[in-house]
Amino acid sequence: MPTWMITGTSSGIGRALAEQALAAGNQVVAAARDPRAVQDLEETYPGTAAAIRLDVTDQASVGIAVAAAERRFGRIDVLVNNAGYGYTAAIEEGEDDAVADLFATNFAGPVALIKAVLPGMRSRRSGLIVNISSVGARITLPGGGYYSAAKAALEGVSGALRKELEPLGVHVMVVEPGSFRTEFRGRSARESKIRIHDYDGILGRSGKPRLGPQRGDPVKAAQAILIASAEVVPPALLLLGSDALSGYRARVQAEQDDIQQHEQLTLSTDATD
Amino acid sequence: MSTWLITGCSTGLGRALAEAVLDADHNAVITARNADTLVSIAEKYPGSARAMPLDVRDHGQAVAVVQDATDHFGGIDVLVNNAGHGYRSAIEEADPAEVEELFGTNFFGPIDLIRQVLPGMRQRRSGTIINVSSIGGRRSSPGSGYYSATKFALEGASDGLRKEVAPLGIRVVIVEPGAFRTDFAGRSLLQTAAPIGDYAGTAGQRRKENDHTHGTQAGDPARAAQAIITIAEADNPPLRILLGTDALNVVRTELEEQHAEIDAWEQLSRSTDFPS
Repeated sequence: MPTWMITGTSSGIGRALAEQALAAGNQVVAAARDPRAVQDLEETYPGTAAAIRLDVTDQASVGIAVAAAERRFGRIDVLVNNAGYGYTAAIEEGEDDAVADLFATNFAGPVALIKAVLPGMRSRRSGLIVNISSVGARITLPGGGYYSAAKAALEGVSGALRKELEPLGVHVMVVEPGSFRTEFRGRSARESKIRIHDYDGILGRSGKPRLGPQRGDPVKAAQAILIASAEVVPPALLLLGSDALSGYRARVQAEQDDIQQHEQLTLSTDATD
Repeated sequence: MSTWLITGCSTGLGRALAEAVLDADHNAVITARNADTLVSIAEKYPGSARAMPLDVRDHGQAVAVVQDATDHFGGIDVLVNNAGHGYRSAIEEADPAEVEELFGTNFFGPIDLIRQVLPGMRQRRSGTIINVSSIGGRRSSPGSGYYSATKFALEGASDGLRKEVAPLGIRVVIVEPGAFRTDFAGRSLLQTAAPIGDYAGTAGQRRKENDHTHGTQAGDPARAAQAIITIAEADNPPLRILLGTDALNVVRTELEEQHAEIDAWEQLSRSTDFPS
């Protein structure tokens, strides 16, 4: 059975995925900043679950965790870059340190893990890298610009990576969940301490928040990821949630309309020689 | 007549734009890491051009340039984040320090400049921010994944920014050029010093020694400059504008392929909602 390494397993989609993957008989390295949060998985699945400490922003921690995982199970067949969080700030309100941290966790950390697992995957000419992005990567609300940027950056890397690894038998899948009932909006959420009044109304800070409960079920998200991962060639992009689907289609339509509307200007820049 | 601030004016698109904007009788603060390269342009337009050194990664210089433009011309009407460069490397081959520098120039620098010009634009309830991205900001190719990452990031931030500042009378446009006859694939292009043999057939093909597109690209920088001026002066510019037939074809193909895959997986995508 394949060995999965999943980050951010203390809650949400990461936790659900670790549980579902173990229940399906896989070996799972469940990584978290505090491995006590996933200790119970080792107790429930003593032969196949390994709880491991991993801070994706710490290069040393990344190297140690991957080496430990490979020692324990011999190989990593599937890497799931799931650890991540949101940050709310108008672009003008962004705090340098907070934005740097956001990119460290949501972008540079996943890239470091990818680089750490690739030598093994290349040597076996086999493997799968799953990068959990977000509909927020392509549908950006006021206040979501930095989060969108970090997730979009991960998608930018994923596209090239998929084409670089295809001849080597390794696959790459980007997953874009819509709104799911996890800690994303709760304990995990961060926001800027800088408040510029001009943006209060635009960011919805002038009244009571009107968000209802999220529609997405993390357990079903995990099951969908397992199904897609089992394909001989998983999709390059997998949306999760009917909200993700309708948002995506609306954006593609808007893009195609824009392209159509401005086609003349677009074609005006070729050299005539 | 408006006041422009343009980065990366020593060559290519930035230089063509600087000349076109000044020729159209606008004021322009034209910048480059080496301001000596701008002297010949500034001399042609003594009243309306100011040449200043600016490495977009240098916060102090960014503040100084915006302050100078404001002192001299009263305020910046159009910011063009054009400075940037490419980086050829398979994802696994990259030096993290080089990736950090790339993000500094192509993403964090532009964001810093945006933050510097916004207070003035908000005060006047008017302004235009033009971020030069690339077709690489819509489709990521083997060997240029990190470059695409910086442009994807710039586009994501621009999308949020646009919604934040539209109610304040400020417009945000992402310009996506295809391949243009500039220094992009020549002097400006950096690459990893540590290629890995397994990527020779993919990323390796796009290394400088193997990529022969420099000097033969289809796009004309002078025409791109005119298109950018047209967009800046439009009443209702779109969020994204492609420049070049190649850009158009690439994006159309990308959208179609992606759309087909999304349709194929629709059932699974819908399966994750809680029952209503």
